[in-house]
Amino acid sequence: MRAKYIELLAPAGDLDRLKAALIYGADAVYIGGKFLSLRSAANNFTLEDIKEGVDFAHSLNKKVYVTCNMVLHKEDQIDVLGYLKSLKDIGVDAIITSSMYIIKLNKEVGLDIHISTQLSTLNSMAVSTYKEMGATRVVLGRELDLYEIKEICDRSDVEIEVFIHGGMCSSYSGKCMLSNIMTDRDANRGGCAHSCRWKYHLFDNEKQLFSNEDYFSMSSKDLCTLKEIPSLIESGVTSLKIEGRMKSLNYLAFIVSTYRRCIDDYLNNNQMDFDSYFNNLIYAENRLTSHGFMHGNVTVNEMLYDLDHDFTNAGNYIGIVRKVDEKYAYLEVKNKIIKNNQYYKYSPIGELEKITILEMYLDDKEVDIYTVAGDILKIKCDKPLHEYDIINLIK
Amino acid sequence: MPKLLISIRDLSDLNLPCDGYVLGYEKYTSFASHCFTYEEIKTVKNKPIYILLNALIHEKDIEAVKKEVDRLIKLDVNFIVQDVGLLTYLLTLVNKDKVLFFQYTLICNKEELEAYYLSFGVASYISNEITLEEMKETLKEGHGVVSLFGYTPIYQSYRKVLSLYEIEKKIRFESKDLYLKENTRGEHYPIIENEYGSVIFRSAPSSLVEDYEYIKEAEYLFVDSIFLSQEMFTKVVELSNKVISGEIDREYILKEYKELGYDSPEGFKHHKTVLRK
Repeated sequence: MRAKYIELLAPAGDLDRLKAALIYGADAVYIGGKFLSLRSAANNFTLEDIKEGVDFAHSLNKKVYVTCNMVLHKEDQIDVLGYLKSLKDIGVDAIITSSMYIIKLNKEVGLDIHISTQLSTLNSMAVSTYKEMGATRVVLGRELDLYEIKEICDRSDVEIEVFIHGGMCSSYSGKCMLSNIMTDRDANRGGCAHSCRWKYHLFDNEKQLFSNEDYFSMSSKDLCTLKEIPSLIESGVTSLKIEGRMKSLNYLAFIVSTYRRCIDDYLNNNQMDFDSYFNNLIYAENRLTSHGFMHGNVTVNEMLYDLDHDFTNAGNYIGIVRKVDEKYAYLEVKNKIIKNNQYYKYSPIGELEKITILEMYLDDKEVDIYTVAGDILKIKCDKPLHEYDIINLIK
Repeated sequence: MPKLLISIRDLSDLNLPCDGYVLGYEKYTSFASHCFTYEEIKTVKNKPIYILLNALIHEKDIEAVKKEVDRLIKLDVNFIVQDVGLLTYLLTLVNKDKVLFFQYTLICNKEELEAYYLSFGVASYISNEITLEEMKETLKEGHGVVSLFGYTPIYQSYRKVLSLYEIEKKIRFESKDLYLKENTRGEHYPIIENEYGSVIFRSAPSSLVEDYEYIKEAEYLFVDSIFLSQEMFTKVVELSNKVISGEIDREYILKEYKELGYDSPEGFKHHKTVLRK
C-alpha cells in the first residue's frame, strides 16, 4: 500500500446530502450556513443543522468545513464574530473564506482557515502570504496544471486543496461580474446566473460576424480528473475537492463513490479500472466534462460550443431508500417508477446491482406506476435494500 | 484630497495634468489602454509612473516575473498589481507607498478595505458593485482606490476565448475591435485577448466624476483611457482635475457630458445588487 492519506472532500447542500456524501465515501464535506455562504440557491444549514452534521461526521471520524466565502457588503456583516464563535463552539473543523476581514476576526476565535478558490491563488508566493496570515489550507485556482500544482506543493508548508470534479467558472473565480451586470444577480454573493454559459453574438464594431444561429460561446465543460488522480496524489496535495453544493444526492453518491474507489485503488496498488470509473459516472447528472487546465491552458476540447446539448444523463435517478424494515424498503420517489421493471441499485459499497421491483404501495394501496417526486413508496424487491441505496434506470 | 491617476495610451499623454500615470507593460499586463516596452518607460524622466501588472501570476511564471520586477524597480517606478503573491514580493523590495493593489471585485465594505490595509499596508481598489452611499462609507478611513471613469472589467479569464473560437470555427478575426452581445440583450461588451487570457468590459464607461462628493475620501482616483477617444479622455481628465480642486459641480459635469454625447450609466450607484435568497 502506498503510504499516503488524501482527503476526498465533497459538497453538501443539506443534511441529507451531507450524510449521503460521507456514507458514500467522502472524508470531509463542505457546507454553507444560512450566513456568509456563496451558494444561495442551496438550502444551506442552520446552526442546529451544522451541529447535527458535525456530530454525524465526527462520529465517523470525518470532517465538516463551513463556507464563509461570500464577498461581504455592509448589510452582510451582522455579527460575523458571533457567527464564527458559534461555528467554533459547534466543533466545525474549518471555515473556507476569501475575506481578509473574516481572517482578521478569526484571530479572536481560532477556527482553522481555508483560503477559498475565490481568491484565485495560482502561485506559491500567494500561498505563503496566506499561511503567514494564519491559513491552514489554501484552495488553489482551477487554472493550474499538474506540474504547477506539484511545484506549489513542493514549495509550500501549508495544506493544498484542488478541485477534481464539477462545474468550472469560465473566468477566474471571483473575477466575474457578468451575472451581476446582466441580471442584478451578484455571483460573488451567491447569485450567479451562469451568464458565461449563455449564447452570445460576436460583433466587429457594428457588424455581426456570424449568423443568428451561430453563437459565440465562452462556456466551459465541467471538470473530471479521474485519470489525473494518481498524479494529484503524488503531487502532495492534501485534499481533492468535488464541486457542487446544489447537486442532487444521486450525483453526489455516484461521483463521491467513484472517486473513492479510484483513490483507494491507487493507494492500495490495485489495478486502476478507468473504464469502470467512467462508466459509473454516467449515472450522475453531468454536464459534458474535460480535464480542464490539468495539462496546460485549455484547448477547444475543454470548451463547450454546443450549448443546446450540454447535459447528459438527467432523469436517471428513480429514488432513494429512506429506511427498511424486515419486509419492505421505503423509497423516496424522484422520477417515474414502474412495478416489475428492472432497475439498478447503487449502494455505498460502490456496486451496481440489477433489481426488480416486485411490490409497490402508496399508503398501503398497491400501485403499478408512480411519478410524484418526494412521496414515499413502500416497495419490495427481489434483493435486499438498505438505507441510502439509490435506484437508477438501467442504461 | 485624492490623488488622480490616469492610464495613458501614448507617451505624449504625459503632458496631461494628474498625480500619476498608469502604464501597461509589455509583460504581465492583462489589460491596459496601451502596453509600453521597458525601453519606452526608460525614456520617461521626472514623472510619477505606475506600472500596471494586473495579470494573475501562475507558478510557472514566478521566476520570470521576479526578474522583470527587479528590472523595473531600477527605473524608480510605482506598481499596481492584482496578484497577492506578486504584491507580497514587491513589498519586500519597495516602500508600501509605491504599490497599489487592484483586484476588481472583492472589497465591498469598510472593514474589508481596512483588513487589506492592515495585512499589506497599501491602498486597494474597491469594487464598483456597491452603491454610492456604500462607497462613501467604505472610504471613510482612507486607503481606497476608486475607478473614477472608464470601462470596468466584468470578466477576466485565463482562457483565450477568442482564439479558441477561431480554432473551433476555422476562421481568423481580422479586427481587434470585437464586442459580445448576449442573445437576448442589446448591450455590446468589448472583449480583448492577449497571452494572459481574455477580458470582457462593461458596455459603456462608468463615471463617478459627477458623484465626487461620495468618493472624495478616496486615496486615489483612477481614470482608465481604455477604449476612450482622445477627445473624451482629455475632457474627462480635465473635469476630474477640476472636480477634485472644487472648481466645478455636478451640474457642470453633466452639461459637459451632454455636449460630448456621453450618458453616464447608473450602474449600482443607487440600487444594491440582489442578494438572492
